[in-house]
Amino acid sequence: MNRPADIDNVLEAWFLDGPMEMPDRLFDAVLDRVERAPQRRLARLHLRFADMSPQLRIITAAVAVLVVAGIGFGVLGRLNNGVVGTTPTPRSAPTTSVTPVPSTAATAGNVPAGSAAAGNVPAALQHAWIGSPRDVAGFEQISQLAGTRIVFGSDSFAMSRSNSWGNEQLRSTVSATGPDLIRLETQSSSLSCRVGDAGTYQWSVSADGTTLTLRAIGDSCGPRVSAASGIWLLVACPAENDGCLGPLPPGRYPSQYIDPFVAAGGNWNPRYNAISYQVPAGWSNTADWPNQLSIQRQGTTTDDGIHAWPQVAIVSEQAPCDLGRDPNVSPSANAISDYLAHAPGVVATAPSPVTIGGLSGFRMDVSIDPAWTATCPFSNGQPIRMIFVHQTSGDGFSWGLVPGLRSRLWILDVGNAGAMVVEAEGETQAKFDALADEATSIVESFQINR
Amino acid sequence: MDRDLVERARRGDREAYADLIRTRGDRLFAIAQRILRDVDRTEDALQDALVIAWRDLPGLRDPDRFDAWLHRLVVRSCLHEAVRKRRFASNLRALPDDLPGGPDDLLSVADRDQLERGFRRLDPQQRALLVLRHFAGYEPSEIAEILGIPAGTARSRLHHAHRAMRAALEADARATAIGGQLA
Repeated sequence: MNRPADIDNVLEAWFLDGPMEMPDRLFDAVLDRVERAPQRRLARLHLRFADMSPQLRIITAAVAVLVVAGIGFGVLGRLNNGVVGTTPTPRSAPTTSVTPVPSTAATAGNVPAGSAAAGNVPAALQHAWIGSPRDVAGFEQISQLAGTRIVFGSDSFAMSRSNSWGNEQLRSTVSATGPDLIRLETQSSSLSCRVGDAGTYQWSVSADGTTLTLRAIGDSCGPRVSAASGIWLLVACPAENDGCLGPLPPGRYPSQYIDPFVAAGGNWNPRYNAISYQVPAGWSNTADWPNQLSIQRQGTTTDDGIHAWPQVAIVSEQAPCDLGRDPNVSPSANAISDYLAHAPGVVATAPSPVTIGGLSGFRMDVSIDPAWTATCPFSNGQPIRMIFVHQTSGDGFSWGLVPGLRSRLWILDVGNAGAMVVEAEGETQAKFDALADEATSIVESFQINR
Repeated sequence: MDRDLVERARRGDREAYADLIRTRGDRLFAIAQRILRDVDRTEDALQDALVIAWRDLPGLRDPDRFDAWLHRLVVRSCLHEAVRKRRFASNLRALPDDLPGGPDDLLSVADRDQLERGFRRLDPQQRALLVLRHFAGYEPSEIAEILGIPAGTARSRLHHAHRAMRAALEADARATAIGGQLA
């Protein structure tokens, strides 16, 4: 095209191509989800409760307990009438292969009973939670490698596979029946559970609100026992559509989506706990995508922190701004670290051999050569030395050095999948120095599971 | 503005919300599709945005800002969708839509291919800016409100998006020329 000067008109003409109507199936899908999705009203009521004066809070709590107790008696009455007459043994014990170790152990009663509005799901539960793969009869997808996601609304419960949020199963209504008890009643048939099947669960949430433990007291819906029982981690990702965990109390945590071992172009499926890591106080899991895991200090608004990228390749020096890969540098830890040690525009320490989570590779610190002046159209006039792209060219991932940025790289061999880079960066030397020790400890704590 | 519908939807009236979506769905879908360039991803992003909008609607303080707020949710959802998929599924290439050319025959098939390649080189936010400006027809001040950024920032980013698009087209033209010589 020889008309870049006419870019406005060209874009306007080009944008007129393409579909102009929302498909009916999409409209129907939205309405179906809206039908089941509660609006965020009660959550704010609970927040208001938290803001009350201590005296008013006690009075309100007392009223709430009385109301809950009243509903509880009603529910127990129904239980005694045989709605939950039998309690089948779960098909298998809940899988808890990865047990988070938060600073405060989860104990029933850590969250005051008064925080539960009458009959409704306690505020502490009204979140999305993620846990290990569950062996749930009738929904074999969940028994594979993906994590399991459950969501409590103000009066609802549903579960799904961690990458298939829209495919909800075991939709149930929920009501509080005691200070640490909830009752789930199947709303629509799924996974061999019938409408009206009911169960009672004891719950506890850690004092920091990030770990939920559910224990079945009795449930006529067996798959729900397998699905819901066990330990759950709060999903409080700053990005709404990401499934990352958000702020983390000290402890070890599993990844949810990243898989370092998928070769470029291979089929990805979420693999729960492909990477686990140990964090001290003050850190947060800020991204967890098929091809990126990020762990940053809480409150960080820049890219400062730790990032892991599988399937990394070196950018071609011939046209670095086009973000194509250099076919002469093989995607191995040895070749990439050797290239960086001698690359123009890069100031690098000598690569030192390391083993991280069982993967061998090299560690090195890199920054941009102060004499480097090359820019790219997307660098806003700032010098930039493009370094990494994804092995599959053109996928949008790219990473480069800019003035001030300090970065520590762990370049690790992952067999047929090439190389994974784990990076700790600070946008200035001072910021890097402030996080380098902790970040290095976190990276060295990585357990990488095949 | 359907202020009454917005008020009813805020109070939990699902039929009112359905009416709101029905009258806006086509436009939102068209905007999202042009940002993401892929129908499946567009459907995922738009569905998520519209469910989030329903869920968070009671928190919308000013019903008169419903449209800007809804556009913001849709654009944000598109940006998340683009980031989510681009890091892995980028080898998926959307085929050109099976539709006749647009009403403006200024653009040849080759032009459209070049635009497609150039547009895909932009980061998702730059794509969103260009779509909001040149497809949806919003002024920079309106784009600023939709994206939740200052008007000056919107103008600046729009300028950079135009420059990036020109650079992407020029780079593509160079690559095509080189490829032609080699061939």
